[in-house]
Amino acid sequence: MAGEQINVSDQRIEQGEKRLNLIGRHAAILMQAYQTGVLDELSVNEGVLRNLLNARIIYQPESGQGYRLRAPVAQLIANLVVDERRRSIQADVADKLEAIRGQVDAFRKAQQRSDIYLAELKLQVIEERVHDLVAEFDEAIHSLWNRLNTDFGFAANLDEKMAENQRAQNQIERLLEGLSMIDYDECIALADGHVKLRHLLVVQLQRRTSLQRASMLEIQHRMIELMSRFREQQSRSLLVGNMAQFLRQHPELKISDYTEQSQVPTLFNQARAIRAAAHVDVHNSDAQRETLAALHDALQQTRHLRGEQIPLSESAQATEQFDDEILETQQRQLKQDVDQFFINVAQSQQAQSALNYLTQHELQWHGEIWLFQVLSEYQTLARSVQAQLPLQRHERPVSTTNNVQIIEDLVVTPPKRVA
Amino acid sequence: MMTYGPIIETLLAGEFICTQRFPEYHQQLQDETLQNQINDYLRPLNRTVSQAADGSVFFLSYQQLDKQGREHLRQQFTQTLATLMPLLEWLTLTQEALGHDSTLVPGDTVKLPEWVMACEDNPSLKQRLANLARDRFFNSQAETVDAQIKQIAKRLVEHGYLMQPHGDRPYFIVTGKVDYLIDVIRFIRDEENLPVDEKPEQEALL
Repeated sequence: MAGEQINVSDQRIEQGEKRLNLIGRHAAILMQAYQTGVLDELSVNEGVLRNLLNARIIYQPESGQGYRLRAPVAQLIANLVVDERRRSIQADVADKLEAIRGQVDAFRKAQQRSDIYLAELKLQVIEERVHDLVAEFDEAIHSLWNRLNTDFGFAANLDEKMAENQRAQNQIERLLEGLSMIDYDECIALADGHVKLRHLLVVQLQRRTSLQRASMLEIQHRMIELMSRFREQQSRSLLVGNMAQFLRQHPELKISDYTEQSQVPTLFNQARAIRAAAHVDVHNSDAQRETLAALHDALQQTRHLRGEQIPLSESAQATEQFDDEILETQQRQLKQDVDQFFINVAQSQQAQSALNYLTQHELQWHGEIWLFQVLSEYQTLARSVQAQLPLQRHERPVSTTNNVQIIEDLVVTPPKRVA
Repeated sequence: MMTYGPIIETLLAGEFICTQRFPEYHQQLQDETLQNQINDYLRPLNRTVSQAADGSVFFLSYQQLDKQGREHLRQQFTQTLATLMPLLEWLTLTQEALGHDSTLVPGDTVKLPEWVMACEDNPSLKQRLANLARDRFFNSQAETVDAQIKQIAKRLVEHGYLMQPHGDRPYFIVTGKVDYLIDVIRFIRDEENLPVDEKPEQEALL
């Protein structure tokens, strides 16, 4: 049993080799058949024809008709030559169009003879050809987008990227030339009066290729943009490198003072910064930023705690007995103003008095309520934040005899900046 | 009505507005009407909005130059010249260290660990880095590559050439101010007629 199996597979290998050889020996006529759709019977003798038929490489749809490549063979060739064809796209488009014309012609003739079977076959061939033509452009476009989207990442350096970009641009031009060879008027004429042909040549071919053209123009546009970016990068690198080298070699170089010119060039006319006290640059110091973030978090957290449940408990006593909405809004505003006061102090570089802040910012709160709120908000801050924002009470006794201390003002000191 | 208070505040604070640092403001400043409105507002302050590097950055200039303004510009110019060499060296050094195709452009990311590793592995880069870090502009007395690079990055952030999106992460984004720097270099080259090429063909001939 086992021996028999080996025998069978040996036979298959032998047969396969023979048939592949057969394809190789008759490559020229097979390619001609692939190109035109029909084998040129006159260029081969009968023996060869029989061999090819037996080897299932070609077949004859109907006696008296031409010989054609079997579909797997045609597909094999299509796969094998795809790269080659992409490079010579223009000649290829011309060939394909010519083939389509020929097939349409053959289709019409078959129709005239009422040879439905052949006509159907020709129609299939035309469909295949149209599909091939469109697919080829699709593939090229796909590969171009790919290169574009990766910024030619596969190229090792800028020079190579630029060379690749140039190559891609040339390819686009060839592709566009190829597309422009498709004459839509001719397609309409070819399809005249036949629904299926019309669908193939007008609807399908035309619609797809016009989309492809738009796509290619877009790619071309982007390629040019990318190229100019590459050029800018290149010249920038050279400029920086060469300038650095030149300055190193000429340390004594005296550059004239352009600010003495009557019209100072805009580049060198940067006005001195104006910093309003209330708008200190928060980007200036890391320490400050940290304090601010901590303060912000602390305020957020406590606000959340107080927000819904006990809106009144920690705020100024003076408003405690009211709970109607207007006053609640007012109270929220008061809290916000106090929060803002702390943020302001954290941002500024000097200690601030709460009462001064109140008048400076023209807030309408009563001084006593304001101080009380500042104090109570301060108590809600985390210890670490309090440590960074020390609060001082300015107090005085009620009278010489009464030692109850009255808070006159509160002064908050911002964090020390790290130099 | 569009509010442009924050833009004015940022400009008045002496910031360079670029897409990297202030994307929203940079976008808004593309509108010429808005620029005019801001200029109207700034007129009493003797300021006007300027741009450089093909609109890559916006900043404030003096509208009219008085003695004080001129003196400020003179000092600033001296400082610009003093920072030119270290900044150029920074650009060439990072390009080599990070193995980039070109010098840094706005939007590029600089990862400090990567930079540190490249310089530690290469004695020549290490030496150049040490020299650069000692430059008055960066003013680092540190001995280690790591500390030198940190100091350089810190100074570059202070001067607006880099920004650090997250304070706790060691990566930096190059800002539009680098474009401004390139503009300055080109300007000086042209004004002083320096034989500094930026065309590859000419370099090939040399």
